[in-house]
Amino acid sequence: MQDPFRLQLVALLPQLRRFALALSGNPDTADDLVQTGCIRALASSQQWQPGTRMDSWMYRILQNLWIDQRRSRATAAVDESLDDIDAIADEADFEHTMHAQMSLQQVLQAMQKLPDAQRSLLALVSVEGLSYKEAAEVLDIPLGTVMSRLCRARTALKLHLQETPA
Amino acid sequence: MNHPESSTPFTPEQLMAYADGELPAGEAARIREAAQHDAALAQRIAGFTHTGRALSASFAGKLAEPVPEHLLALLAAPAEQNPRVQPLRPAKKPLVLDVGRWWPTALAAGIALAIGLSINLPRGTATEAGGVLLAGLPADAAGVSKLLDTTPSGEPATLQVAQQEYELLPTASYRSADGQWCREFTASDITRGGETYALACREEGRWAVQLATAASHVGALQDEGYFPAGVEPAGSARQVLDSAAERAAIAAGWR
Repeated sequence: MQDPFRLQLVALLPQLRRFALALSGNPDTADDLVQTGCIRALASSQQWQPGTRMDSWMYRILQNLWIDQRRSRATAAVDESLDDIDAIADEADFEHTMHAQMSLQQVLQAMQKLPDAQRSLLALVSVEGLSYKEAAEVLDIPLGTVMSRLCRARTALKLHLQETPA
Repeated sequence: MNHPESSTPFTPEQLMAYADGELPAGEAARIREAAQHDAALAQRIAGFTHTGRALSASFAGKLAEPVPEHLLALLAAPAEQNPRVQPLRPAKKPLVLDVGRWWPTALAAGIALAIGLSINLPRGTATEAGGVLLAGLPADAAGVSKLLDTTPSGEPATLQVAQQEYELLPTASYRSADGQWCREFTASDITRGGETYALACREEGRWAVQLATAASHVGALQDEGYFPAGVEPAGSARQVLDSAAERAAIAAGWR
């Protein structure tokens, strides 16, 4: 019999790689992050409770590892004042831009301009498809914070994508 | 709750939640109704719908990508269920080990004993100068052993050697079969990049690095008979410390 823990983890790998890419913006960094995350998960597999969602558990592990790495490397070159962006861009223009085939590379670049906290949330909700409540649990933040932070993230992302040459 | 600058009584958060299908039915119905008579409102909702869709669509292709071998190997089933990872193979030829992979025979045997297997491994060589490098960091650099003394698993610690900054991240601690404390950790060169995965065991009051490999090759360690913590074969007696037990070991100075 195969170890069900490992089997589940293997099945999650494509998703975890996608999430890690959304966080880091770089495929190689993303795979390193997934690898470290898997090692961590295997080492602490007793902490995972069967019957609970392994994806949420793994998102949390990856998210924490990523934040640790960012902090220790002090590469947070992003201006946190972006968090306060309140501007509402012209929707008609935006719709037009979005239809002009947004490449993954453009989206990754735009996401990298966001503060870490906004990017993580965006990755969980808009890339991974978690509900607001699930994302709140992974990040251990109140639902109200999810709403306001995600709203700022989406508004800022929209502006960054409009700046990006198509 | 009105948004002060909006012509409509809805906050951007509400509109986003509506676009994401996160609002309760009643509230959603009010917005749907209002948007039918308010083009500007409909546009604002569309803006959120589009950011959501753009993100999920851009990343969709990533799911179809094949997963790299080394990730699969890392999660491969324990040896007895997986003939590809067979620790009892005889050594075919001496391995030519680069600076990133180093493994003295005696220690390899010790590790094998620690996890209850007998293996036969060829001797590895370190760098010409005789020192092992962890992502460029000399394994015997002052500070490595000290950090391993005090840093709990999962908490990165930084150290500076010759103007270069490195990060050590302990990942697991356990006692080998002969009672020696061992810790697995990663070492990264913060300035220049590069990550090494390493095992150090307690010898004569300090941590001595026993093996090291590029972090991207952790999965290959299994082929050579060492099973990183968490991937040991079924029936292994190795017990990785939980964080409370590890704290106790740190407090006791790993005695």
